[in-house]
Amino acid sequence: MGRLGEVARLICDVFGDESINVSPDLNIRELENWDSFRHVNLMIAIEDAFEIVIAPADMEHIYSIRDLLSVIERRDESGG
Amino acid sequence: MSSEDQRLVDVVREKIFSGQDPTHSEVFRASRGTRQSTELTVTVAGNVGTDFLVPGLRVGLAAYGVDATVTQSDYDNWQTEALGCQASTDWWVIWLSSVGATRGGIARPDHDVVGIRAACERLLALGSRIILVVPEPLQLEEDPFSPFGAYRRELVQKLDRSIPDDVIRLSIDHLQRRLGSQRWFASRYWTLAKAPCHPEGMTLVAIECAKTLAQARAPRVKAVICDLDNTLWGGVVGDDGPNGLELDPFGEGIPFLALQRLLKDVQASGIPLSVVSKNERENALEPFRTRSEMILQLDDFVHFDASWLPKHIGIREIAAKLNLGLDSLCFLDDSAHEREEARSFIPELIVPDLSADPSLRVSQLLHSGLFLCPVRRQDDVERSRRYREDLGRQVEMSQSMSREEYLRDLNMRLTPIKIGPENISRVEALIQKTNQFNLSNKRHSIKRINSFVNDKSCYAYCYSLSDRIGDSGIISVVLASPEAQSLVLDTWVLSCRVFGRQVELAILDNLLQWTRRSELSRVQACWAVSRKNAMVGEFLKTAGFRALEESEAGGVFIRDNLSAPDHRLVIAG
Repeated sequence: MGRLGEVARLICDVFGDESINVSPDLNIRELENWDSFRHVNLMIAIEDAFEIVIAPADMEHIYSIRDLLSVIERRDESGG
Repeated sequence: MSSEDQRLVDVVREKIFSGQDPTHSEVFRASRGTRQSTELTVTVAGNVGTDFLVPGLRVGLAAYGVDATVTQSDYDNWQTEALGCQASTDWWVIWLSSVGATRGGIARPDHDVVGIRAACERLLALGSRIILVVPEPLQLEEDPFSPFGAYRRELVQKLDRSIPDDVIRLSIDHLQRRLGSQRWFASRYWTLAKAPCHPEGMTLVAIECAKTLAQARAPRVKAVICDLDNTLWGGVVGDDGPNGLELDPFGEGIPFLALQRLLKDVQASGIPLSVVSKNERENALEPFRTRSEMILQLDDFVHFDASWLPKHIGIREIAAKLNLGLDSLCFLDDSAHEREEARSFIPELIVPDLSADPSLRVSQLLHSGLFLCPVRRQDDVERSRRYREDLGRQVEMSQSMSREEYLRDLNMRLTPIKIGPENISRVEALIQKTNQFNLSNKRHSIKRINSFVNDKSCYAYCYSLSDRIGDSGIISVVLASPEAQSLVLDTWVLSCRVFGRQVELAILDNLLQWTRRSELSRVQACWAVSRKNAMVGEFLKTAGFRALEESEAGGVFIRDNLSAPDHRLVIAG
């Protein structure tokens, strides 16, 4: 499963909605049941799944899936 | 709940009971599947954002078999809400975090301890019970001389002195240590969600609160059954002989003696201990007689079973002897094989997965929360003595006397006592904990019980039982109200300890006398069927009640014959 696929799975899981269409342009904060609690839970799920730590500054500035993927890529390259 | 959801809750439960920590993600996923019922209502509040506490509380309570509805009080507004509300939930869980109290570790404001006390008093007056999570150590306390540390510790003391005794104080320092300060402190979560620590820590706190609440309501474990070889001592007594066992308190015996010490304390808190061991009886007994290092002694056990039969047989016998449900027994055995076998024959048995390393077992059991005792009642401490007395009675009865003679010879005395402030706590405990002889399964709060007590036309009594052997204390509660010509029973609970001695007939006798004096013409009992209270239906039918309506869910039973049933008890007063 590619990174996008894994991220899609985690989003559907955390937001409890299998029907979300996860494309790179999707704005996470515009999802129907987004709130700061779910946002943080998503960040934790991403940290667990990719074995990285997301910096606080990054966490607040993640809006789209593209943002999320680039944070993951950056952390992965620098060795988490 | 779907089967996948149930599986997720089960995974979390197994981790908790084996002293492990479920992850935040596991708990978050599992919490979505929990049912919310009004069986128990909990408000979570504090000077922190409480979102991250809700999943852990729901799942933790579900793991203890309680379906709870958890609501949140607005951030830092709980005092105002408490002082202003007219009705309250069953429990409040309030976290006064030091992170909130010091505004993230940057200030040392004065605290309105008086206001906190007033809010707690109001909630208690409304019938709620409270768990207060007290201010935890700050990251600044990594400097042991930090003035913030001194301020925080002083705040904890001030709170302890001011808030009412009935509030359960929960300190979570041990959870910080467990997770480690590197992992615990994460200021980004304070900014994002007013969470005083990493969500993994919040989940640990929530589960600890769930354990505390569940144990304060009704201890999960009512009896412990343990193995001997490689559990209470190192080695196998049948092979190594009593002198070859590892019991040296300065060496290899330490982990085993530590478990004995834990079990001794558990027993002293009112939970009876038993042994089921695969051994020749004499071999099993000998170390108790010859090894002075043993902390547990033979008379610490209410039952000692050494045989070669499969252990589930001995376990069932103990459940029957102590009149306890199988799901309230905890079985400790070092052997994974024995644990598996016991689980497969008795699925509801609590079987913690003891570590292969004996030195980890005590910490596992402590962290499981199974023996957590947030509220020590005098009643609990005396329970061990009572179990031994009860067993004394059973032994006597089995000796060749007829049952009738035996009952007469006991000289049992039942005392009806009006429910009041001096016994309300015991009354509430009985209503919450009794499962087998429970007519309606209504789990009334103290406030609801008092509504019967304060209504002069209602019947609100508890019953105390004593006999030649000892005093069993308060063992039953009846709440009833008159409706037209009937005395309608709302609640009738009877402790399983006193089954088989006609106590329920004597209570019925007393009820019928009251009914006659109040010029009512019949007694009505609505039996609500549960998994455990089939005996109530049987009792009603044999005690002169006839069914007005009956279905799978229970029935309405009437007794219009007001003459007393036959029994051997003397009713005082």
